[in-house]
Order: sequence, then structure tokens, then C-alpha cells
Amino acid sequence: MVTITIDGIEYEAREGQTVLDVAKENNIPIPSLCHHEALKPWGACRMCVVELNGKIMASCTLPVAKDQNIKTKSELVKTVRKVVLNLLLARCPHSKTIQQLARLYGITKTTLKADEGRDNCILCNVCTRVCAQLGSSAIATVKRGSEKEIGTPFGEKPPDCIGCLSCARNCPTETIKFEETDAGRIIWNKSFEMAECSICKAKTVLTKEQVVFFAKKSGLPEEYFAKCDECARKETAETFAQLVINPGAHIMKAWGFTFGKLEAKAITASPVLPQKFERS
Amino acid sequence: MPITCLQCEDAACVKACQYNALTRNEKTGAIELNEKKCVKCSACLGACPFGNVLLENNSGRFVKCDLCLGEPMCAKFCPSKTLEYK
Ligand code: SF4
Ligand code: SF4
Ligand code: SF4
Ligand code: SF4
Ligand code: SF4
Ligand code: FES
Repeated sequence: MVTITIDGIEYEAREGQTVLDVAKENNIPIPSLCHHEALKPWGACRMCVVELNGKIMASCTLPVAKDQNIKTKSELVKTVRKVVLNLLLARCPHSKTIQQLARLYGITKTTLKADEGRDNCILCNVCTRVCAQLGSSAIATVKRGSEKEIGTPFGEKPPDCIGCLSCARNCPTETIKFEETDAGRIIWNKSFEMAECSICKAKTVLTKEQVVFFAKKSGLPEEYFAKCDECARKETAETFAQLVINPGAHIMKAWGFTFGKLEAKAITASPVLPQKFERS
Repeated sequence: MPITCLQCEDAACVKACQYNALTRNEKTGAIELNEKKCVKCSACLGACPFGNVLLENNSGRFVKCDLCLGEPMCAKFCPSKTLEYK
């Protein structure tokens, strides 16, 4: 544990935390755009800046240290955040997220030349990082300089995309477009069909590609993923009913515990997942 | 009887999540879904063999039973005390 001071108040922090982590834990508002708690700190947008010993630092990449004295509301911090927002607003004048954030700092219009013809991407790389952590890396930053944007290899339909929509669902500016129906999805110009439930044949909420990919990643059988919730729940209910009515030795064995233990465990709601869940 | 999460010892949902969003709360024994870490990829929802991870239609959030952080409301309100938490 280390003690740090934020805006004059002392907080306990754990080693390895960043200043932004501590601020979030204690409801101290620090705006952030390229930060996502599931991902490694990135430090690109500079929205989360704070002041430490007269210097400006990105709080999302700043590790806590003993006796740090952080300011989140100083004039210097406000000025730098305004500069950042002025630039972002020039890059994507129509992004609701950026407009809202800018308004909090009293900015309604950029003083620079607004880039009207562009989408709302702020190049925070949340999408590419989410996709990389999944293990797909289907999208990347393409082109250079002011032409930089997020795209697919050679601008084609991305071969490694599994249609999980995580890139789009986590984009802070809702730039990535997708279409969704019960039967399928389209994202990055690639069409996906939803996988069928192996029991009732209804469409599940995963694409066929997701089923194959998630099974491989987790080491679980594909049929775990290709099952609709309704059938999964029905099956579980039937298995439970069987257990209660007829706690047969073979089921007990499959579930890996004796009846006496089952009673105790089931009530404390922590039974053991069978290594192999057998379907009737 | 409704069936909610079994808080499996060798949980499929945890194996499926690539973002460390599903972890066991050592105090309650429950597997909790940290919404801030969840990227909404649907892997856990697909993985649970019992259909116990849900996608809330209106909010788009992924949710599962967390034993109400140690005080299960379902057990508290169950009129016949069929549900018990010990
Ligand atoms: S939808 Fe495709 S590109 Fe987007 S995160 Fe999923 S796999 Fe990656
Ligand atoms: S598309 Fe969205 S998530 Fe991806 S870099 Fe641009 S703003 Fe960030
Ligand atoms: S959500 Fe499903 S897999 Fe995860 S612990 Fe609960 S019952 Fe087990
Ligand atoms: S939906 Fe959220 S909790 Fe579930 S596997 Fe994906 S990131 Fe993890
Ligand atoms: S009421 Fe609480 S303990 Fe009961 S199923 Fe819902 S989340 Fe779990
Ligand atoms: S959130 Fe810290 S630099 Fe983007």
C-alpha cells in the first residue's frame, strides 16, 4: 500500500495501480478516451492528464508512488485538456462524445480548421486493441500522417474477423458501423450468419465464426457455444429434476460427488462443474 | 425452481473470457462479471453450459448471478423457503 494525495486528499493505493485507477476507484472525475479497463494502458489521447510537481502527465500510464501529490483540477490541467479537446473537435467536429466533453470545458467550437469530411474516429485504438486481445487482430491502423485511419488488411473484408462486434461496441465515438438481424450481421463489409442451436436449430446469438473461435480459445467443445439459452436452461432443469427425483449413482459419478455432499453443496450454491457435461 | 448460476469450480464462462472480466469473489465464492472490463464479446454467454449468462435486451449489458454480493435477494424473498443460502 502507498498513500498518494489527489487534490489535497489522501488516498490508499495498491502497488501497480495507476493514478487513473485510484481516481476511478474513489469517484474522482478524470476524463479518458483511449483507456479501457480490460486493456493495457495506452496513453494516446492525453485527455486524462493531471499535474504532478508542475508537470503534465497522462494519469492512465502514471504508476502510483509514495507521497505523490496529484492535482486534477489545476489551471494547467484545464488548459491542456482544452488544447486536446480543441484538436479533437477539429478532427471530428460531429462526434457527440467529443462535443459533450468539450462543452464541459466551455468549448463549443474548435478554433482550428474543422475537418468536415471525415468520420468520428479519434485514433484511440480501443477497437484494434480489443480485437488483438481477443486474439483476432483483424483490424489495424492503416495509412500514415494525417491520412491515418482504422481499417482492414488491404481494405478488403478482414479474413480474421469473427463478427463479435466488440470493436464497435467499445468505440468511444461510435464510429464503427454494423448491421444486425436475427439471422446475421455485417461488420467491416463482411457478412456473418448466426450459428444454429445444435438442439432446436434456432439461431443463437453467436456467429458461426465466433463458435469456432471461442471454442478453440477456451479449449471447450464447440457444442457448448452452439446452443441457445433456452435449450441450455431446459437441459439443466431436466438434469436437476433427475438429480432430485432419482439421484442415480451414474449421475452422481458424472457430477463428481456423492449424494450427501451434493445436498450440502447444492444448497450453498457451489456445485462442481463436471469435467464433461453429459447431455441426455 | 428457477436455476441461476452454479458458481462452477472449473467455470466455462471464466475460461472463455479473454479480458479477465469474470473472476471469483473469494469472500462469497461467486463468479462476478466486472462490467467495466467487459467488452461485450459474448464468449461467456456462449460458453456457459447452463445458459446462465444473460444479455439484457434494453441495455446491451452482460449480466450473471453474483449471489447479490453475499446476500441473495432471491433466497430472501422466496415465500416457501425453497431457496436457501447457507
Ligand atoms: S468484430 Fe471483427 S474486427 Fe471487430 S473486434 Fe470482433 S473480430 Fe475484431
Ligand atoms: S474507430 Fe473508434 S475505437 Fe477505433 S480508433 Fe477510432 S475512435 Fe477509437
Ligand atoms: S455462468 Fe455458467 S459457467 Fe459461469 S459459473 Fe455460472 S453456471 Fe458456471
Ligand atoms: S461478454 Fe464480457 S464477460 Fe463475457 S466473455 Fe466477453 S468480455 Fe468477458
Ligand atoms: S437474486 Fe441475487 S443471488 Fe439470486 S439469482 Fe439474482 S443475482 Fe443471484
Ligand atoms: S486515457 Fe490516458 S491518454 Fe487516453
